Amino acid sequence: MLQQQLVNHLPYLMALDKSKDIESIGYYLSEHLKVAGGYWTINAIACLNKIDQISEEKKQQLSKWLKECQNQDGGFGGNTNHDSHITNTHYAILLSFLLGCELDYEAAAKYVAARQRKDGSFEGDQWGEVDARFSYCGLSSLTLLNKRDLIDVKKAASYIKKCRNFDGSFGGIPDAESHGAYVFCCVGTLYLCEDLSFNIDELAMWIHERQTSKGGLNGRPEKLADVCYSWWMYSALCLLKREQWINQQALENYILECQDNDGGIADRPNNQPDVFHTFFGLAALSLLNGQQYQLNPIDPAFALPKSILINIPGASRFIQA
Amino acid sequence: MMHGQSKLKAETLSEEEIKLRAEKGQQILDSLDYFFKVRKNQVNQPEDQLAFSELMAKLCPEISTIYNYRREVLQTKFDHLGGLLSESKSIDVYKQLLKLIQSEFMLITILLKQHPKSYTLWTHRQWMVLRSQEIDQLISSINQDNQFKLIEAIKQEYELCSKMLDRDERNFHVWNYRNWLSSISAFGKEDEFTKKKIEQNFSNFSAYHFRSKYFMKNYNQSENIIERIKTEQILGLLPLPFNRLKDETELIQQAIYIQPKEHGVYLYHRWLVGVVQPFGVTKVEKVQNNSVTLQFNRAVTNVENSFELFNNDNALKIINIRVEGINVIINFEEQQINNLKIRIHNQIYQNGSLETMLSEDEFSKFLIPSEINLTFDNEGFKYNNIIQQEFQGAIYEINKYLDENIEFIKQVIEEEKENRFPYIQILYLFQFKLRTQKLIDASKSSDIVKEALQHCDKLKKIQNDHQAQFLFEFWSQF
Repeated sequence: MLQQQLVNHLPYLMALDKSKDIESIGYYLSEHLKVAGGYWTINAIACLNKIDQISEEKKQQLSKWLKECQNQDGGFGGNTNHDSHITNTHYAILLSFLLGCELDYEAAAKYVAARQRKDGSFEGDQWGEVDARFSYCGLSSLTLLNKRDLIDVKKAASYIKKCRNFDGSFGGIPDAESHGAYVFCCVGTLYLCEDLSFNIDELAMWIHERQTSKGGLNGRPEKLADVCYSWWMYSALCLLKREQWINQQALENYILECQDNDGGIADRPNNQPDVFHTFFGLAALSLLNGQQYQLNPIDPAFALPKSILINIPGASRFIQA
Repeated sequence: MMHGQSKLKAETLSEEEIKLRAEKGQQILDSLDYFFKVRKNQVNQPEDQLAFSELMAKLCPEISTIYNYRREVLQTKFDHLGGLLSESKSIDVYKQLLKLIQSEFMLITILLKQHPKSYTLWTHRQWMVLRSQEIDQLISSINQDNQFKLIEAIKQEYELCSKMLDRDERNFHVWNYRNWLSSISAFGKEDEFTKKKIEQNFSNFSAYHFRSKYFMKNYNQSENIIERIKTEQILGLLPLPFNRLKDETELIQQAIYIQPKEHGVYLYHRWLVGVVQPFGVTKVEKVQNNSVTLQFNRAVTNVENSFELFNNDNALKIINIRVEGINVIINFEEQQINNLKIRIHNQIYQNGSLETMLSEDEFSKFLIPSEINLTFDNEGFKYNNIIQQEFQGAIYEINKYLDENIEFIKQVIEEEKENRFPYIQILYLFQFKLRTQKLIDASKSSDIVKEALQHCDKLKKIQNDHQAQFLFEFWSQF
C-alpha cells in the first residue's frame, strides 16, 4: 500500500510545470522561485529513481532556461531577469548537476566567494542580508565546484559557532533563537568546514525534544510539526552520527501520513501538498528507510543524490558512507 | 513554500472562477514582464518610479528584485535631496525627505501585515532604518539653529515590534529585528520587555531565549568587576549578583510550576542554574621535578595564562600547559622541588575587565583564584589550597542555591510523577552538584551518584527512549 503511494508522487511531480490553473494565484506569485522549484522537482524525481522519465528534449529546454538565469555578475536569479542571489546561485548549481548541464561555474564561484564578509559570514546579495542559510549555500556551492580556496573556511566556521545558543542548538544569525531549519544550515556548514567542535550531544538532545507525539518534528518548542523538519534535522543527525536519537519509525510514519492521495506530500496530514514538502518528505524517507521504499539516497550534506555526487570531485571526501 | 494550507477542494472552483484566476495570473505575468523591461532600461522609465514599484511590490510582495529596483530609486532620491538640503537648508526640501522616508516605512508596515515573516520585507526595513540614520547625521550637520527635527526612526520601530509580537509572540523576524535595533541604539529595555512577555505567557520560549542573551551581554561588563566580586559574590561564567540570580530563579520556578509539561522552561532553568556554577581546582594529582598535574571539578579550556609557579619563592619558568579532560598538566623547568607554590588566577578578574562577551571556549577563564602550597615529606607530598578570600563564602552560597533548586525539582516530581521532564532536569542538576560538591567535600560524590541512578530507573519506566538511555549511561560510569 505504502509502496504504491510513493510512486503516486511521480505524476504529481511531472505535471507541475503544466499545472497553472490548479496551483492558482500561488503559482504566479512564485515566479521568483522557479530555479528553486526546478531543483525540488527534479531532485524529487531523482529520489524516486525516475529521472529517466524526463525526456531529453525537456532536459535541454530546462538547461537552456537555467543558463539564461545567470547574470553578468556570475550569480543566478530565481528566474530569468531576476537579480542575483546566493541562494538561487546555489540552487542553480545543484540543478545543473541533476540535469547534467554545464553553467559558467567559474563566474558563479566568483560571485559566491564575493559574498563572504570579513567576519566569515555570508551575505545573500549586495544588499547586505546575512544569515546561516547563505553560509551553507556558500560552503556547499564552493565545495561542489572545488573552489574552497576562494574563501576563508575557518572564519566561516567561527561565525556559525556564534549562532549557538544556551539550549545547545543553532539560530540563523548570532543571537537568533534556535530553529530546526537553521540546525541544518549550521551543522551542514560546520560539517563542510570540517569543524564539528561543539557539544554534539547537547544539540542531539534538543533535536530529540523536537519529536512530537504524532512522530513528526517541530522546528522549535511549542510549535507544530512539519514534514520539512524531517529533512532539516534528520539529515543533521545523520551528519553527527546520532540517527538513533529520535524515534525513526515514528518519523517515517508521520511522513507517510502527510502524503496526499492525489500525489504530493504536504507539511501536515490533510493539508495541501506542494513540491517543497514533497521533496523534503521523500529525501528524509530516503535516509530513514531508502531501501524499503526503493528511494535513491539523498546525501545529508549536499542534498543531492549520492549517485550524482560520486561524479563530482569536489564532493567526494564529504560523502557519507 | 506553502505552510499550513488546508487541502483545497478542486470541485469548489467553478469554471468562471478558474477563468478569472487564469486572467489575474496572466496580468501578473504581463506586469512582471513590463517591470523587467523597465529594470533593464529596455523601455522608458515610468514617470513615477516609486509609484510604479509600489504597485509591483503590492502585486508580488515576495520578489526581491522589485525591492532592489526600489532601493536604487530611493537612494538616488535620498542623495539628490540630501545634497539639496545641505546646500539650501530649505524647509521644503526637508519636508520632502521626511515624507519620502515616512511613506516608505508606512508601505513596509502595510505589506508586513500580510507577510509578517517575509525576509525580503524585514531586510528592506532594516535598509530604511540605516538610510534614515544617515539622513539624521546629515540633518545634524546643518542643524545649527535647530530648525529641523531629527527623524529618529528607531523609537517608532520598537513600537512596531511590540505590536507585531502582540500578534505573534514567536515571530523570530520581529525578535531579531528588535535585537538589531538594540544593538544600534540605547532604547531597548530588554530586561523589562522579555520579562513582560514571559509574564504574559510562561510558554514564550523566544522571550527566555532573548533573556539569556540579555544576561550574557549585560552582566559580563568590564566596570568595577573586582569590586563586584567583593560585594556581590560572583563565581560562574555569568557574573550575576546573588539577589538578581534569586529573583530570576523564582521567575522560572514559577513558570515550571505553571507549565510543568513544557520542555522550554526546564531548558532555561537548567541553563540559569548551570551557568553560575564555578570552575575550580579540586586536588593536586601528581608532582614531579618538571611537572605538576592539577585536577579540576570540570573540564577546562583556555587556561594557558591562568597559572604562576614558584619554588622556594623563586618564579618557575612554565614550558607548556596541557589539558586532558579535567586534568591540567603544567610542565616547568626541571629542578629539585622543595616548596612549590601554585597561584591560580581568574583571568577575567585579574585583568579587571571583560572586553567582549565570552565565547563558550573562554568560560574556563573564570577559575576560582587560589594559592596552593605544597611540601614534601617521607610519605610523599602535602598541600593546602587557599581560596582567595572574596570567593570563599561564594562557593557555599552557590552550593546552597544548587541544593535549593534540587529540592524544588523534587517537589515538581512529587506533583508530576509521570512527567519525564523533571526527572531529566534533576539528572542535570545532579551533574552540576557533582562538580560543585567536589570543591567543598568530594566524599559526598557517591551519594549523589546513587540518587541519580535511582532517578534514571524511574525515568526509564516513564519513557525508555534514547535520552533516558544516554543519561543512564552517563551516571553508570561512576
